[in-house]
Amino acid sequence: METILETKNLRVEYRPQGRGQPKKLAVRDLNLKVEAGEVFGFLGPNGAGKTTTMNVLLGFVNATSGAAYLFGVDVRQPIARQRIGYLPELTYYYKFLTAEELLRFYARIFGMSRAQADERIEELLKLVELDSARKRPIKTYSKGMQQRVGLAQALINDPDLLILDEPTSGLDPLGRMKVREIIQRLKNEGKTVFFSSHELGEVETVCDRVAIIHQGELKVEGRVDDLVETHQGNLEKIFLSIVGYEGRSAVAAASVTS
Amino acid sequence: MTTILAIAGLVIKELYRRKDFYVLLVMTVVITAVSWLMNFFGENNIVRLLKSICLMLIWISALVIAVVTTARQIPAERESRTIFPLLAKPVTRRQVLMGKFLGCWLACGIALVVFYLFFGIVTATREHLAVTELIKGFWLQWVMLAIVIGLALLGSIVFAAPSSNSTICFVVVGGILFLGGHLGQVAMHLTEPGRTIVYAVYFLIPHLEWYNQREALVNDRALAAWSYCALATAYAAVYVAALLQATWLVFRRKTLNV
Amino acid sequence: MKQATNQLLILIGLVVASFSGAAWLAPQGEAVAASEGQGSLLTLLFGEGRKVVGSYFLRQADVTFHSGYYPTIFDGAQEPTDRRYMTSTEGSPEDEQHDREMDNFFKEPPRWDLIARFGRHFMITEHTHLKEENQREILPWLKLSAELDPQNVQTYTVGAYFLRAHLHKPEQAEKFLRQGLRANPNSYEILYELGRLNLENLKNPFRARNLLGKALKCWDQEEGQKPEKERNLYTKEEIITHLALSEKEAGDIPKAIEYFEMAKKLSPNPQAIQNWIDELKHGMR
Ligand SMILES: Nc1ncnc2c1ncn2[C@@H]1O[C@H](COP(=O)(O)OP(=O)(O)O)[C@@H](O)[C@H]1O
Ligand SMILES: [Mg+2]
Repeated sequence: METILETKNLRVEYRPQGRGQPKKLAVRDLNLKVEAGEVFGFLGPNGAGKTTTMNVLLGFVNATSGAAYLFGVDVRQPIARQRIGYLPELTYYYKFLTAEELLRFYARIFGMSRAQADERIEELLKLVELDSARKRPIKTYSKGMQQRVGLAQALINDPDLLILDEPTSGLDPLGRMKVREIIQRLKNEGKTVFFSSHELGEVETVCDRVAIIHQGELKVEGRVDDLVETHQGNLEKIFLSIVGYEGRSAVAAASVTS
Repeated sequence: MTTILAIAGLVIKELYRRKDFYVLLVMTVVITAVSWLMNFFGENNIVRLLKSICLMLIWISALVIAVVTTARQIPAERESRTIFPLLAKPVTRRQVLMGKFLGCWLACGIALVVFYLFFGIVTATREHLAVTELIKGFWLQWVMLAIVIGLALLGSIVFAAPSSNSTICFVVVGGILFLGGHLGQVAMHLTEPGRTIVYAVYFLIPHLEWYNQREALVNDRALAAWSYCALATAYAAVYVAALLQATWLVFRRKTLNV
Repeated sequence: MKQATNQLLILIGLVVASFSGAAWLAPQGEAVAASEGQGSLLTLLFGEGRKVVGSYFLRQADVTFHSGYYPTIFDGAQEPTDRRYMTSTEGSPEDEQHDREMDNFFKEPPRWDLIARFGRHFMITEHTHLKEENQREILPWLKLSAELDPQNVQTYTVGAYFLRAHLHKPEQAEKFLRQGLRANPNSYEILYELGRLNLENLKNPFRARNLLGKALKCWDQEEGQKPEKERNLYTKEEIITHLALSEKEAGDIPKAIEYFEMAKKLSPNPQAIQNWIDELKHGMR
């Protein structure tokens, strides 16, 4: 199987914010492998280092040591990003553009022809249900609509790998369901999806495999079914025990009942 | 190149969807119109005061547009996080800088064409219009703006706040315009080590004052020959290239998460 | 950040508003100033710095007169402070003196100073003066200078000279001089210009006689206090000569001869005046 995304002993340190403060170690020696066609859930509490890892994958932040590859290409090379789509955690798009103009701009960056772009934009606006608002400036959009514009731009180049940073955070239940549906569809199309979350319910329903990190360290990695079996509990319990909240008692309780 | 042009197009679109340019244009038109109506000693054909007021306003407006527009480009991309989806595309940071530079320069060029058309009309109402000299004046000013934009772009990456960057740019550009040409004479009257320092500054700064042909345009003088204009253009190109390179060197390794 | 932009725009807006306001209100302010003897709106706006700005405008008139060819404080050349050459005829001693000063204020830069040598191509390096109809271009600067620095007598004399001699607007010249006289009631230079204007352009020798008589008195008061060498004898001679001419036009020939005799003592070229005296005496016979 083809490895789409890989990190090798990835380590990221942030420079100290103030004098006398220690360096912040955000990611420590992370090894991940995502295979083609997988939906991979990247889990961890707030501040675990999920966004940081993604920032390295996208070239925004340089790794202190270790390496990361997309499609086998070192992430420091822009060409590694030709076949990916990325949805940032919190983003505002160019407010003075309309959704259509925004997508056309990104299409140009991928060197798409006018006809190609038109067709793709049509498709995407339908997919994310922004067809009716396409000619309005983005600054007039609600949060949910902005998130959907974000999804549309991430899909503009029909990417083989999608990197989504907390795609459902801040959305209402309906919005979440729509995002989940889109992820499911992409999976059916054979795409690889790498997404971070701390919403465990949704992860369980869509993911093939998950990794849980805490304080920059990889704690658990594996197929969802396998994890549930070996740890004898649902993902939420495993997650909480790793984070150290309600710790062993929950896992212990689970083992006693069985 | 498509990528650079796409980014440049975005800058231009932004400028024409914001109010700054129109405010400055209206201001220039209103003040010039007021001056046009002014009457001194019953003479109503006075043209040089009119031209000098109009050109002065054009210079101020062009500098404001160039510096303010450029200074906010990268900081705005970072603050609204639009730079993340952009850089997640196969776009290098150098392309972002080039696109921003080109966009600002072209946007200023378009604004300048509008301003000079107005100036030409105003002049033609009262005297014979020397079109070639006007074009030379326009060209030299536009070339100078390229250096100013290069400076502001570098500043926008070095300094944190766009407002402080703008202020610094205005002071530097103003200082060079007023004093740059005289630093050689100043140095001659100094003792060491002041002398060497001032000479070093004198030879290092871009001599923006050459491109200021207001006095000649107002007083109906012939401007420098085209050959000298071409040399001045080459001189500016060297500075622009150096500034862009320096900007890239700083920006290249910059950690981008806020 | 957007705020900063807005603040800048507001600042620019204020500058615009004050400029437009000043420009519009200047003529009205003039009327106020005339009636109240107080500063006009422009003077209020600029406050204490107005003298400085006023002299800057007068300088600007001179810059315009030279079509932008003008030294800066860095050129090592003394900027002309006496602008009488503006009103002198071509080839006169003042004009030649002025040409000597102004023709070469640019110092040739050293060979190795490529910056300065290249920059020369982008500077105005030819000494010219405005020709006839273009001379009106200096008027706005003089008007502004008078608004801001009403005590500067040269503003009025230079302005009146151009209005009278080149632009054929004696009424405007008179108005401007009267404005100057209100601010400087004892200026013999303004009185002299006014007298000359009445004599030569307005053809009113009686008024001219009165004005020039007053000019002479004021000259005595002002210059009489100075040490002998520093007195402006040139203008005194001009005043007296024109007094003589006024008397002649008014018909009082003996009086005219009397003044010519006075002028002869001051003149560097007494023979020319003697010729006039002879002519007058001849006519009387
Ligand atoms: N620019 C930065 N400078 C210093 N520390 C940072 C920076 N960005 C993130 N961090 C720290 O790194 C850790 C990981 O953050 P992040 O990757 O954003 O977590 P997550 O996305 O999993 O919530 C956090 O403790 C955060 O405070
Ligand atoms: Mg995060």
